[in-house]
Amino acid sequence: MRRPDQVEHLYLDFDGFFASVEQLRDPSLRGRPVGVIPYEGGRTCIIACSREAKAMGVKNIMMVDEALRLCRDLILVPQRPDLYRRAHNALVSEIASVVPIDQVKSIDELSCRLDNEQRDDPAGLAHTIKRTIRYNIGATITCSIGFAANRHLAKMAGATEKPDGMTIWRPEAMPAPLLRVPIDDIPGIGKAMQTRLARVGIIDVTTLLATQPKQLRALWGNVTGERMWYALHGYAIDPPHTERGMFGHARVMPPDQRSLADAHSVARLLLIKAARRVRRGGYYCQSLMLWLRGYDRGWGQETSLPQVNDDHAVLTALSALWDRIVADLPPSTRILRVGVTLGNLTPANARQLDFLLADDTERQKWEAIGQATDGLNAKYGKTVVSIGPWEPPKGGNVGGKISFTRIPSGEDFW
Amino acid sequence: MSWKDRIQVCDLDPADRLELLCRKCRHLRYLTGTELLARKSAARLTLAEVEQRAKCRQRGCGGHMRLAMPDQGDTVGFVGGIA
Repeated sequence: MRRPDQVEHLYLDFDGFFASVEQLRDPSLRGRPVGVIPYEGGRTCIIACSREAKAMGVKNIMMVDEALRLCRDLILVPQRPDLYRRAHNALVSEIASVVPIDQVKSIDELSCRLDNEQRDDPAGLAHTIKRTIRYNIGATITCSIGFAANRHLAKMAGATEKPDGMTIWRPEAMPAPLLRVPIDDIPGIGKAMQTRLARVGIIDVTTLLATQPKQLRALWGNVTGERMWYALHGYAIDPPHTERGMFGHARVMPPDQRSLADAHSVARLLLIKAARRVRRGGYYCQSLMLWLRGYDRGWGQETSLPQVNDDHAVLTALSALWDRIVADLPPSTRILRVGVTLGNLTPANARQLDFLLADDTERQKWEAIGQATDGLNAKYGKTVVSIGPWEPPKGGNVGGKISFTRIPSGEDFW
Repeated sequence: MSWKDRIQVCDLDPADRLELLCRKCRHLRYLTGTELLARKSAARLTLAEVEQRAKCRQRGCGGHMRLAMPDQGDTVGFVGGIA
């Protein structure tokens, strides 16, 4: 495996992304502690906070009550995923005008490969990126940038100086800066792995680096341990290519809309949105999973489908699944969270029809209806036609959730 | 100088997709590279000029549009926590 002798990767991580976008959008929030919450009202947690809030001890994933105890002036702002999506697109376009983007890792993280000229002056490149963002987007959005021989080290380098930092870990200076990083700050080493490592005497980065690749493989129980060893030792290592396996959506129900009927209505909406993504992605699906989470327990069931992607087929399957699940539930059951997943994907150009089912004529009809409804919705930029009722719940943003690996598109908010 | 001033229509790939969002009524529509490249007179326009000329097509609106170029690919996740 190749071991670069120059910095080859840049890793950029925006500081308190959601909160800084809110501050950019609303000047009255600038310089004030801001906490972004999933929805207004109810018992909820902070999903992102501004640097002013962080300075007061507020952290992400902290309950609102606790955050308000630490910072009485905390301004709570309900999340606006569409705003963050648009900010992400604008930022990525600006950064791409300075340096080509190699991988978008999440809504607020990306990485780039450096060319020879950029490898000679990484600090200059970081300053150009920061200046471009400041002048073309806004000064409230800052980022921390790390440079290193590989992407993993660059990510760790960037995390050592936050907010608005820039860190270069040159290969010739390694592993000295790495030794100062606490072992639990290494991405990929969680609490369970830390305990497992401690059992064999690996308690810090020094002892971790003194191991052998096969030893880490044995400790991890899979090839990830070995890949971690090479990443930490500055080898050029790329993550294996992964294929999309499913399209799904989930939703926490608003506190006053947690009846079974409300949950069913949201499940329908989530499923239609998931089916639209399946069609846009050029796939067919073969399974549907529905899961519900109550206050003290959860329920889930899966059903198989012929290779389909039209709304009629998935909604019919959902009705059957729903009836099976709620048959055993008291009508007064309260539902906290609903999720649907369309899985077993097949690319549209590899679809095989089930000759025993012989439903091709029927499917073609429903697919034509699906194309027509998608076309109308695209024309008007919102859901104007749907199969059955279309009643978005309070709080909106159904299907527009931002996760670690997903950045919603504009269509997800229709 | 923004990224929109640096890219001309003729630099676009036919598969590129531009997003136009009305600043007034929030109507969203997409414009493909193919559609823009088909307009011969637009080939030398920068995307900033395309944005300036774009108007909302919703009945009675005609508002100015904000142009963006959404990322086409999926995010590349962490495998085993390794970036």
